[in-house]
Amino acid sequence: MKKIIILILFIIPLCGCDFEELNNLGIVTGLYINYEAGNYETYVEIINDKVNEYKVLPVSYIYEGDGKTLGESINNIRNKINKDLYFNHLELLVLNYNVLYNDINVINDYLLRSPLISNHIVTLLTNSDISKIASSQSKNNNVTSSFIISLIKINKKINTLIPSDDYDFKIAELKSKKFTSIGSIEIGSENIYLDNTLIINDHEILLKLNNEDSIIYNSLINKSTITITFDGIELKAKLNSIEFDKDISAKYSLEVISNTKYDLDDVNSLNKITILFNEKMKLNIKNFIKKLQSNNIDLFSLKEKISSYKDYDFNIEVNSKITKKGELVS
Amino acid sequence: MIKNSEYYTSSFFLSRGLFLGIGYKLMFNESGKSILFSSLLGMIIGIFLIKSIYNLSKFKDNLLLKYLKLFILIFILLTSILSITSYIISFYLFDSNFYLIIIPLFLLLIYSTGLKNNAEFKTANILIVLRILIFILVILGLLVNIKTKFFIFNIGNNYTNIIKSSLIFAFLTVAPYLTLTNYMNNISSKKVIINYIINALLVILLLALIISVLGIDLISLYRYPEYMALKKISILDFINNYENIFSIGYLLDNFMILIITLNYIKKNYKKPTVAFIILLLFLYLICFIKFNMKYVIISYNYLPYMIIIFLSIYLLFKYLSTRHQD
Repeated sequence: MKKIIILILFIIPLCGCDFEELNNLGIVTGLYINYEAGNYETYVEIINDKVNEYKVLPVSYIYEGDGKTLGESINNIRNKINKDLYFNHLELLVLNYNVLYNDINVINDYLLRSPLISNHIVTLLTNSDISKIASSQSKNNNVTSSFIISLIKINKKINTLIPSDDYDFKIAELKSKKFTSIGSIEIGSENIYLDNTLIINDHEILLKLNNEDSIIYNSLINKSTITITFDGIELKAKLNSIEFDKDISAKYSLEVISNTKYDLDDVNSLNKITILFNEKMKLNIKNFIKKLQSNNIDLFSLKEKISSYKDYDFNIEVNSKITKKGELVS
Repeated sequence: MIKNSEYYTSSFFLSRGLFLGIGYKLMFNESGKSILFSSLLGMIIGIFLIKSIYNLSKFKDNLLLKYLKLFILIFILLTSILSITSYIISFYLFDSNFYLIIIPLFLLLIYSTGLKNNAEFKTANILIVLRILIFILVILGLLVNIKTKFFIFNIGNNYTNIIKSSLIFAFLTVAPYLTLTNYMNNISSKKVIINYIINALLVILLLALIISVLGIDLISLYRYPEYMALKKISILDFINNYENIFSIGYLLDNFMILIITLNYIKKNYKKPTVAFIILLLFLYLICFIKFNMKYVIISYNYLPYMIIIFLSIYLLFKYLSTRHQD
């Protein structure tokens, strides 16, 4: 009997949880923020969950709000829509350079403090008009944030840029005044396009990498597979290991994508290809490191080991082996 | 009397329970990069503590020691109830009414104190299957997502902080064993120590994995790094967002501490004591914790130290009293 009474008592509080119906949630997928003259201008992209058989409805809606703080600008958006903003599926955060120059940590703090906001957010910086980026896909009836995320995924395959979605790791690096990288996006005459990676520290953009540097950066930092072309051969290269000391030594495994010149059944040809690859990578890594040194950027925490980091001449060693040559005989 | 297996399963829960939200975070704050070193040091101190608890448990407590022990148990309960409620409010039921969260919890605690035949240890024996399963899944999930560059084993040079951190580790892992003192002497001292070492090593293993998944920089940002590390578990890009299921393990640890400690008080102290303590816990939550973040922070920062101080005094006095008895 005692058990039954206790079980009945349990039912009373358990059925009282606050809940929101799915229909009442405005599911935010993209957040676009600008900061100008002490004012935050925020755009949120909300997925449309309604379907109309007779009329084509937009797939997402963009709402704008402004205020002296990020919270105020988001609350202004809340006043305009009849749904509760739900940030747990936030995929994309686009910030204007001004936000970085002011204090990017204000945004980070606001987003990470709440347990209801996802921390798998892709962060991008832009120098373009944020409202144009936010609404760039509405004419094509695409969700802008999903469009940008797909752009990034495709870019991952062609290995120029990989803006990381580990948003909180970036924040931790920024907070501890470490060098970090953030991808960038700009708007051209018609379309948006992914621009090169920015190396930032604190409130400053220290360096914008070019395509070649981005490839090396992705290989060394993100350990992603990159594509290298030289002398009539195209290779996929995956970094197996890298050691940073007073010298830098990297080991790659290679996969042949296309080849018009070499006989791949000949061991000497394979050796020649690896030697050429090693030389090319050595040069690229050297140029990349030199660029970092000249801008006093220490991405690999080498300053702790080398006091005269800026002028130090690194000895770079690259070793590689071909692991796949494809389905053709030679 | 309880079975040996019930002792082992209960100790599995007890050694980890006080770390959720309080133990880990306090240790990170104190020792930073040297946390793994201080944990190992803490384990060594813990071995001496568990050995002395084992040896002293053969002697009966006098009235002073009995009430000194009651104070330690109250601090353990306060730590545990604070961490379990804050955790539920932070991650599970953040929009729910505070009373709707704590009333079922307290009803369950009251119910658990009314049970007979060492039901709390039998519960531990049943829940251990689920707990070990969750533990293995968490360890595997974290192992897949570790980043070797984050793993850090630093001895450091701030010895005061390292010692503080190792004391926190030692006392928080050992203090809940006070609730098992009545049953310890059925088991050989060697087995008790080995059991403690295994449990402490599991705490250290989890700690090492949290560091390797999040990195020290990110850990310093979060209030619950142990939960955030679970958020990062992603296996083959489609097994994601299981953190709420995995973190039930932390709640089970805390819950077992609560019911084992309350049952210990019920069995070893006068009848109204346990009712008075449940009321005290309830008042502590509704008067201090619900309305004022200041008291939460004070509790987070000082409760572990109160356990350290009172347990040290208890062991010292007990040692002196046994010498007197000899």
